[in-house]
Amino acid sequence: MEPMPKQLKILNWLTIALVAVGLYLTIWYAPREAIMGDVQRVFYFHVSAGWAGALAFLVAALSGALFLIRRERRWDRVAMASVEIGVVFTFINIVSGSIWARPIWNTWWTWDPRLVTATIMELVYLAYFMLRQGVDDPDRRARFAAVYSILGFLSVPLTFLSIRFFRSIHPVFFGAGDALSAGMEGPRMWVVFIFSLLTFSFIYGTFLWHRLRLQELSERLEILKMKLLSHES
Amino acid sequence: MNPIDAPIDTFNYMVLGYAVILGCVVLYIASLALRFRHLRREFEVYESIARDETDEPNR
Amino acid sequence: MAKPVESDSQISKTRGSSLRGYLRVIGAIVWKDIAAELRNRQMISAMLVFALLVVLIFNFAFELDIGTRETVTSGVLWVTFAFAGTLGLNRSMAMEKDRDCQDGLLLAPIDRSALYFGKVIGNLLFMLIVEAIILPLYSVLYNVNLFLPGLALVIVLGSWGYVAVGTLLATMAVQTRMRDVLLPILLFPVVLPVLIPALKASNAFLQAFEVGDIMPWINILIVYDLIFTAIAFLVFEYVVEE
Repeated sequence: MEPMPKQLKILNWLTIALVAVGLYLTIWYAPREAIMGDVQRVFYFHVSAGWAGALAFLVAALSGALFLIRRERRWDRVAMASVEIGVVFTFINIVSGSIWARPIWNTWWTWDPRLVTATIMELVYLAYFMLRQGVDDPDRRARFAAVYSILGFLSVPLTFLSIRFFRSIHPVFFGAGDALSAGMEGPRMWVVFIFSLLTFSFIYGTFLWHRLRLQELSERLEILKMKLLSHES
Repeated sequence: MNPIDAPIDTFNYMVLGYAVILGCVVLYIASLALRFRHLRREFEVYESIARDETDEPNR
Repeated sequence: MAKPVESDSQISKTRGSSLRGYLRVIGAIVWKDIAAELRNRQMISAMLVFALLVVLIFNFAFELDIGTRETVTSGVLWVTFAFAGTLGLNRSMAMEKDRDCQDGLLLAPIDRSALYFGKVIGNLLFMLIVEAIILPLYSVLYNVNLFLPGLALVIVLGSWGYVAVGTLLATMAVQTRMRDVLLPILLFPVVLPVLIPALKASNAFLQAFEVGDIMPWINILIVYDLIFTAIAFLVFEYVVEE
């Protein structure tokens, strides 16, 4: 098992530093929101997690497309790793969104288009894993997964638009309309927000690299096992 | 909207929010670490079997 | 019992790079499915019985008094169609795989996309037949007038989108270990962009909204149908490779 490459070690530390600074910025540096109070601070990481989840799924769809075109196994590896990380980030997005909603609108769940779309996105990518598990042949598995990740990635924004459109016609008083504009005043908040996005992008990249290494190790183990099996027979 | 002009005390929810976010990140890192450890151990087992095989090719 | 060999050779005879040849291939595939179904009518009857049962269950699930009935009808109908549709899709693609028809079709020198469109049109036909039976039945059971041309249009458009995506996903699902069970899991989250406008537009027609208000939903539905059909058509070949 090859040791961690130097760049990865540096990336690890860089990401940890970013998270530390991000925590400081969101908890202390960012101004306290006038109406929502402290819980609004959760918003920075909540949106960043959502952003990272969407980025992960974009990468997965692109990798899937690349696999279909080039048929190189590494693209399938990238797609699978990316979806796994995307599922984690989207989960964080949904739950933190729920926690944010609770004190503000007095409900754990708001049928806000963003939250609903995030949940649907999560379900699509959980289905992705069920699809992978159901196919034994590695080439077919990669092909099917690629097709589904492309379809899923294109479908989710369309769902969001549909739900959004529905709400614009029948405005339901459930949410402070646009989550982004609610409480984003002043340059300080924007700085913290951009920094959070950056931090989570780095977390995504670091996770991806590690997950890919894990996958490579797993595949090498499989090859070793098969070699031993054929040896014995 | 609040009739009172002071922001509501949502500190506890903020803590909960951060706990969940960071908790999930840490849990995922732990899952990666555990899987790495499991795979490395299996690798060692199989590698030692392979070594035994090459030492005693005749059975 | 089906004789795949007959129809396969029929399809090979219609090969050709011309548009007419292409359309003839699609027609041959559709006709093959219709002929197979006419022989034992298993799929349609299964879909019908299932749809009826779902409608009945909804009767117990909701308080369908006169007032709520009108707001709830659209949802009940589309849930019924979605579930019955899954049944039809599964059977349609499983039939191909079980009798090795699919291999025969793939060996024939036809465009894979023709195979896709053939299956989509066949599946759409069966779904429309079931819907055409359910609508009057629901009308009678719940005393709601469902004979609205606008509603019919929405149902056709919505069913097209559903089947366009469903055929692609069913082709995949049937080749997995879980087979039928996987299709709803794959299909429902992804087909929502089609179902949501269909639901809204159906509801709007049932509640007799202004046509001007409904048109945006129909437009969205058409756009999404086109998008999904285009994507599915492009990636279908990757799903039937051997």
